[in-house]
Parts: sequence; structure tokens; C-alpha cells
Amino acid sequence: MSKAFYASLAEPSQAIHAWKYTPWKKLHPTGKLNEVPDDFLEAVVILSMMDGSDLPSGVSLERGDDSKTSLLQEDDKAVAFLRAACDGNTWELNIEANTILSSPLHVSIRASGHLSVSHIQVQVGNNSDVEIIWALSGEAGWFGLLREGIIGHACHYHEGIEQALSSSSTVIRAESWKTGRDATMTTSLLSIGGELVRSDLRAILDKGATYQQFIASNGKGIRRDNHHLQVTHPVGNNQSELVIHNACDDKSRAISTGRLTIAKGADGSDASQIFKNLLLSQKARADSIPELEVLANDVSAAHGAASAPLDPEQMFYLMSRGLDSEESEGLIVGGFLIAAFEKLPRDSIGNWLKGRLAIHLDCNLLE
Amino acid sequence: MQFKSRIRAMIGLSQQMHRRGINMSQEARDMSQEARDAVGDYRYGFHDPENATIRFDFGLSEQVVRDISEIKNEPHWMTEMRVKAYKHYISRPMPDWGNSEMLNSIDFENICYYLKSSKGSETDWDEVPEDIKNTFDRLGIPNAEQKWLGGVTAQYESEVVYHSIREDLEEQGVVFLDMDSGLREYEDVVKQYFGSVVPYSDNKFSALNTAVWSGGSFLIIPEGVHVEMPVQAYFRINSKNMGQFERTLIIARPGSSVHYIEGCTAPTYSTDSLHSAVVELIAEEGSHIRYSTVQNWSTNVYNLVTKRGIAYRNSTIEWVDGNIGSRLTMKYPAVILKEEGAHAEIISVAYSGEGQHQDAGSKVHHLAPNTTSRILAKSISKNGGRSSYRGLVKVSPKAHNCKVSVVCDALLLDADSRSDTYPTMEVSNQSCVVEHEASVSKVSGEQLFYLMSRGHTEEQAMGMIINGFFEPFTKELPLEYASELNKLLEMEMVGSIG
Amino acid sequence: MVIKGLSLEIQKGEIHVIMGRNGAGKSTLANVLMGHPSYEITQGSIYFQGIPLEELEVFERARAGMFLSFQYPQAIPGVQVGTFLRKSVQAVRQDNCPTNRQLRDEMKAAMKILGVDNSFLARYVNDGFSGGEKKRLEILQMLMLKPKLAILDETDSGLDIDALKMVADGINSIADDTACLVITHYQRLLDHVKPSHVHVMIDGTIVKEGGPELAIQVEDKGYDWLEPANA
Repeated sequence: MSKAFYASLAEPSQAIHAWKYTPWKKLHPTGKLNEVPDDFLEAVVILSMMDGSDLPSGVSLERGDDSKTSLLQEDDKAVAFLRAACDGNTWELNIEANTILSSPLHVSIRASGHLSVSHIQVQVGNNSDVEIIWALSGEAGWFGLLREGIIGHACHYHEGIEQALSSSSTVIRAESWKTGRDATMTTSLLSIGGELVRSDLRAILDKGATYQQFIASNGKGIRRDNHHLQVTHPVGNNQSELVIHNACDDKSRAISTGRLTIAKGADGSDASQIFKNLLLSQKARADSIPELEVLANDVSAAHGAASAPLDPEQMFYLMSRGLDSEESEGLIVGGFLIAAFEKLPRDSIGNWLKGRLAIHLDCNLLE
Repeated sequence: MQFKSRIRAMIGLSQQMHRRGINMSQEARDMSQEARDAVGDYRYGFHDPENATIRFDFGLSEQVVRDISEIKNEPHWMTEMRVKAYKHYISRPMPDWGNSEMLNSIDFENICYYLKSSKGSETDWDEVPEDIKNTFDRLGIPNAEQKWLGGVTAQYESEVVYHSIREDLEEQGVVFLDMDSGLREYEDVVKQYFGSVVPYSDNKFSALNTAVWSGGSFLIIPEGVHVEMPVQAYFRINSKNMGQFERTLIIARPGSSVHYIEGCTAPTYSTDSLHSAVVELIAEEGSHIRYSTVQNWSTNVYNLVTKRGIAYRNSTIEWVDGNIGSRLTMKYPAVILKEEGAHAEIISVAYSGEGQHQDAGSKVHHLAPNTTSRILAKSISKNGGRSSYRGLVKVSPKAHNCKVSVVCDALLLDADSRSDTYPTMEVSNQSCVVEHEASVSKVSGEQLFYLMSRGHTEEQAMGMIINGFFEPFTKELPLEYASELNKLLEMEMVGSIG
Repeated sequence: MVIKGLSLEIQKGEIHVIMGRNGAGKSTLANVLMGHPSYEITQGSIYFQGIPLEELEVFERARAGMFLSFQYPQAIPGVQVGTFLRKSVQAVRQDNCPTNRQLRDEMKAAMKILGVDNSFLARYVNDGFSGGEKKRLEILQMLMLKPKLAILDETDSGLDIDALKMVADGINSIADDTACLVITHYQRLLDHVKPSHVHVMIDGTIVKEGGPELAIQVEDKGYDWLEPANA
């Protein structure tokens, strides 16, 4: 996509909630807002099977075609920037129809250098059953990731993502996912890395589809994790669920904005969003703007947001069992973050996420 | 509630109550309901022929603003504030959020910004001009002899024509005047507080209001005084293109309490009407202000209101806000919890029918420790109406141990209607607990079936469910408002099915 | 297809009991009689006092004198029991509507039978009610609405012995002047309410009919012996 197109777009107004707290000028790598630098390094993407076996036929990672993008946010400033930075280079992860995998796939995305970028297009053919672990890592100063996916009819697509870039990186993610008719998609994200992180994740559901998004974010130091989550039901008889748990310590800040839209005529939609924030220190801060627009009436739509400190009763209980306050707090925070994935239907992904979180929090959560 | 019904029982049924169906006991309520059923529909679609004595041309300019101030004989500082506000108003762009389509269709040039219809404020009902009395009569507004009502300031065509203060309120030292008289008689107080809660620079419409305000209520409750009976005011817009820019200022001194009710109706017009009011509340230490509104403007009215209160130590501010009418209402009653122990309670209900957009909500700002707030917002949309909740909860770093709860419930009665919820929560203090929940659904078929199995038609069943839905709001209103509201909502259900 | 062919005739003063396992179609029958929109009658007809029921809307059936005590009564938040009862009486008993004084007296008597006091009237219909309270409110409504046909869908389920007695007293107090259709799968209620006819329903149809002794047999032997394959 062209740099000219990027330059032609106006800077998004802060009146738009998705841009309210972290404006584009704060995210741009050089501050020269009209420019897209030339020296982006493509992140290294490696596909393998979790259990080390050979990739089955029907699964491939090959160069893709940027012009065939299905990104919902093509006119978004950040997306246009990332596409220009990719300069036409994309990876297509293709899973043929009727592929049933017995063990999860593993995609490693490693970002290094001063500026790094990657664009991944996921195609899952009809009637497939796939689990994928995505491990995002690297020392890049600035990393942008575009991901888009089309999940075919009656598929089961489950992914677990660990975003663990270095603690000084700026990480920008923009994604759009289309869950096809009668398909089920779950996406679970453990957001740990990066100092300034902004994610714009959008999903759209077809009839009979189920879409579940679970996010756990841990804030330490001066980390700033900004999630914009958009789910649209253009038609009905489908179901979506969003759960995001933010734990904020030190001077970190979590921003969660969401837009759940149920279009006119989308009867039979069942949608929910839950935003939970756990504030652990005096200077921590959490902002939540869960938005709901409902234009059909035979639906069930609800959202909830809550912000609270550590429960002193819980702390007391744990300490009465011999744990010191640091251990108790760690356990509660770990439990809080893992609870985001409570409804995850796939154990393999759930267990992997728990394992990663335990390493990250340096405590034992697996019982 | 019980105290009031005892008082009314003592006074006895009067002519007023038959006309307005003001209820005193279950029996009286049944009888008046029967009487009203016999009489027929509620009708507010009427107005008196214009008989204004002073009237400005349409449109606004600095000269118009100065002229308004001059006619009112205002002190220099007020004139200057008006002019500054006017300048801010014209330089400030329209908000870039909200229903821009409707906002941008308001023709500001085609509105008359000032109208006065009688010589001055009357204290004696007899001296009020006849046709004005007729209007109030038809609306069933009680006259000075109603002892149980604290005092009534009635607004007609931008100027207060009638007000009265009960003797004991005067004895208690309560000041209840129209805003113009307040400025005249209590200039220092007004100078201190006017614009202190809602400065003219707050938003475009507070600037407009500050420039052209006229009428409204001025209320001071002295220290330790508890006003038992609700204090009421009525508003009306009459002539075409009439805008209402009333300004209300209520100051509750430490330890005092008051319940103020604002209820308004307006006839139907062919051209647009604009209502842009500002209400400022100051609740000093340990005081309690409750401000109730039932807004039922006709559907050509744009209702853009800024209402805000500052709550000091251990005080409480309650907004009880009902939005039934108007084409577009944008109103977000707000409370700033400035000192420790302050509490805010906001109950907002919105009803949106065809062509309507109720864009209402609430704002609370927790600035101090141990402050609490509770917000309940309920809305119903039908026939393509749109109800939006826009809320802001802001917790500052110093607001330790505060607790906030927001509950939003929306009912969509048909496939054409719309509901939006846009809450914002900004929490910068770790020890506070903030909870927000919202849900949108339609009336359950099972509930309808259950009620219909008891002999009610679908419309009647719907009416009951909807009244039940709004019950947490209605029960906070005095009885006659509550039954007025119930009847209104039940009427709205007729013709809505099928 | 939930009900697969069924014939039944109930007269005033009779108490017909329909027994059967869960899923037999008993509640469906009750809801179909009352006109629940989810069900469609594909064959046959129902006559209520000579009027074909298909011609009547739900509320018209109620006004014609049919009453259903629901198995799962709906909560109507914000609507007080007292208000609801009064409005329903006005809607159903239109021509025979009692004066306010009569209404109060009737209410008092009915509330006494069901063991509820005035505070009950101020609560919101079924909102936060225990199972027993919900059933008592159903019977309270039945007593106030004075139906010609009372259909009682599992009215005894979830009740303790005291509540059960009150519900039975309520039913018995109107039994002589009313046609009653009692749906249950326990014998318990029948210790207190004497049926005139007992029907056993299996798989959407009535497989056996008899007098009160049939209920006792079912209590002893269960339903297996009545399964079409075994009978």
C-alpha cells in the first residue's frame, strides 16, 4: 500500500474514543507524521508444529498478496502506515478446507532492529479444526503487526497469543477477523511486552458464528497498554463474548475502548463484553470505555466494567496460610489474569498461556 | 411520602385535584383515575394567542444581548458576562459528538431570544393576566391557595409572571425567587456563585445561555433548614420560535435540605424551538439537594441543557431526571464530589418514540476520598426512536476508597429502534471500586404471555411492563408526577402494537 | 410434535388430574390451552364453553374465564402485586367487577387462605420470590379472578407441607364452581385435593384414564407399566 495514501489520511481526531488516549502522533516512530520510514525490517515468521512433528499437508506459510487484503480498517491512519511500511510484503498462513489438526501449530514472530513490521493473512478453509499458538517476541524499538483472518464455514479456530516484546518497545497491532457462518473462533491474548502498546482488534460475525476474545494484560513500570476492541454483528443468530482483564502496577496504565455493534435486523444476536481492571499501586491508572450500539431488538446485549483494588479479604486469607504479602499479591494477580481465560474451550491453549504467565510472574500457578 | 399524604388528607379534596387528578389516597386515586378516563385524553397541544408586550426580532447579536440586559436593568458585571459569553458562543464550534445531524439542523437565526408578556412579577394570583391564568388552569397548576406546596414560580414567555412564597418558608429564611429578582435582591450572592459551577466557557450552549438567560429559579436554603415540601416550577414555551434560556441557581447552606421539582410541557409547533437551560447546584457541608425533572417538550423542541452540582463535605446531590419529549435532548446531569464524604445519586430515564433522540446520561467526578456515587439509567426506545446513554465517571488520584456503581438498562420495543451506551470510566486511584453494567433487550415474550393470561391486552401488558421498568424512577417523584408519568407511558403504548 | 393426539372433556365441579413424567407433554398442554404463541395446533380443536378456542386471543381466553397457574411464573419488576391484582380483576371480571369494598374483602379472605399479609401486596410481582411464594401468588390470583376453568401446572412442585396445604385449600375453596385441570407428577397434592378423574400422559398422549385410585397405582408402581409397549 502506498505512502501517499497514508499521507493523504487526516490524523484521527481524539474525539474518536479509539484514539482518545493515545493519539497517532504519540505512536509514530519518528514524529515526522507525514513520512513512512524506508528502513523497516520485516519480522521473522516461522511456522512449526508444537509437538515438533512435520507440518501436515494442507497447512502452509507462503508469501501472500497485499492487494487481497480484507482488513476492515483500511482507512485507518495506523493501518495505512503499517501497510506502507510493509511495502507489499505479506505472509499467508493457509489452512485447507477439512483440515483437522491433532496438535497445535506454532507461529513465532520475532521482531528486531530499530523498526520492524509484519503483515500476516490467515485463511482457514471450511470445516477445519485448528489450534494455533502465536508467540510474538523481539527487541525491536518499534514493531507493527497487521493480522487479518478469514475463518471459513463451520470451522473451529482457536488461538493463543503471547505478546512479549521487550519492555522498551513500542508495539502497534491492527487486526481484523471474519468468522464465517456457523464457525467458532476464540482468541486468547496474554499482553505482557512493550512499553507503549496499542492494539486495534476488530471482528465481524456471520450467521451462526461464535466469537470469543479473552485478553489478560499485565502492566508494570511505565507500561501503557491500549486496546481498542470492535465487534460487529451485521446479521444475527450468532454470539460474541469479550473478556479483558487488566492488572496495573507501578505507574502503568491500561486503556480499553470497545465498540460492540448489533446492526438493524441482526435478531438473535447474543453479545457481551466485560472489562475488569485491577489497580495495584497509587500511580496506576485504568480507563474503560465499553460502548454498545444496538439497532435490533430481539437480541441479548450486555456489558460490564469494573475497577477495583486487591481484595483485602483475599490477601488476609492467603497470608493466614503462610504466604508473605508479595507472594499473596502475586498469586491474586496471577489468578486475576488467568481468570480472563476461564471460558477458553481448548485446554492445550489454556495450559500454554498459564505456563507463560507463570514464567512471567515468576510464581507457580499450575496446580 | 406518608407525611405528604397526611397533609393532603388534612386539606381535603379540592377542585384542583379533580382537574389534575392529584391523588391523596388509594381511593381518591381510583376516583380521579376514573374521572380522567371519563374525560378522555391528556392533551397538551394548545397555546394562547401571542400577547407579548415586548418582543425582539429573530436572531442574536451582541446588541440583542446588551438590550436584554438593559431591559432587565442589570448590574454592569452581568452585562459584561453576557457579552463575553456571547463572544465565546459564536466562536465555539458545534460539538463534534452526539447527534450532529439534528444539531446542525437547528436554525439559530430563526429563534426569538427574548419575550416578556407582562409588566412585572406578580405576588397575587388575581393580578396575573387572564389568558395566562387560563393557561395555567388548563395545565392544572395549583394556585396560591394550595398550602401543601412550598411555592410556585411559573415561567411564561421568558419572564416570571407569578410567584409566591409560603409564609413559613419566608419565616425559615428560605429565599425562593425568579432569577431576575434574585440578581436584583441578592446581587452579592449571585455574583459569587453564578457561573461558578457551569462557567460560560464550559460548552457552546452554556455560553449561549449565559448570554441570553432569562427567568429560572433562585433558591437559597439557610443553614440547618429542611424544606419538607417539594419546591416546584413550571415552564412553558408558547409562541413560535420561542427559545427558553432559563438559569437556575440553588444554594443549600450547611446542614440544609431541599427537593426542587421542574416539570414542563409545551404545545406543538410547526417550526423549531430551542430550550437551552443551565442549572447550578451548590450543596454545602452536610446538605442535601434533590432536583427532579420530568421533561415532556413537544417533539419539535431541541432540549440542550447543562446541569451540574458541586457537593461539599458529607453532602448529597441527587438528580432525578425523566426525559419523555423533545426531538433531541442532550443532557448529562453532573456532580462534582469535591470534598470527603460527598455522595451523588443520579436516576435518569428516557423514553424515545418516533423521530426522537434522547441523548442523556450522567457525569460524576470524584475528587476527594470516601466519596460515593450511584447511577441508574433506564431507557425505552420504540417506533424508530433512539436512546443513548453517555456517561463519565472520573476518579482522581486523591479519591481514596470511593465507590461508584453505574447500571444501565435499555428496552427496545421493536426492530426499528435503537439504543446506545457510551460510558467512560477513568480511574486513577487504586483503592476505589467502580462498577458499571449495561444491558439491552426487548420485552420478554414470556412476560407478555403471563400478563395477557390475566386478561390484559398486549398493549395493556406492555404498558404495565414499561411502568414497572421505570418504577425505580417514578417512585422517587411525588405522587401526582408519578401517576401523570404512568398515564403518559400507558397512553404511549396505544397504537404501538401491530 | 409434543402432543400427539389427545381428547379430554371437563365439566364444572370436576377435578381432572393429568399425571406423567417430565417431558410427557403435560405443561405443553397447559400452555396450548392458554394460547402460548410458541405452539401451533395442527389437527383438532378445543372448545371452551362451546366457543372454539382458536378464535380467542390469550387475553380473551382469560376474560372468557380460563386461568393458568404457571409452573414458572414470570417476574415483572417494578409492578406491585396489589396493583397487578387490582388491574387483572378489572380486566377479567369486567361485568361482575366488585366494588372497591368488595374487592378489599375478597382480597383479605384470599390472602388469609394463602397465608400472606399486606407487605406481600407491595412487593414486585414474582421478583425475588421463593418458589413457594410464586405458587401462592398464582393461587391468590386464581381466587381473585374466579375462573370457570382453572389449569394448575405443577402447582405443587417445590412447596413445603404448609404451603402445599394452603394451595390445596385455595383450590378446594373454588372446586365446586369451577372446572379444574390439575397437572402434577406427584401424588402429594392429591392427598389434599380429591380428583374426580385421573389421566396418565406418556409421550404426548393420554394412555390411561381412571378415578382417584389410578393416582395411587401410579404412586406405587411408577409409569413403566403404562408404557405403550408394556400395557
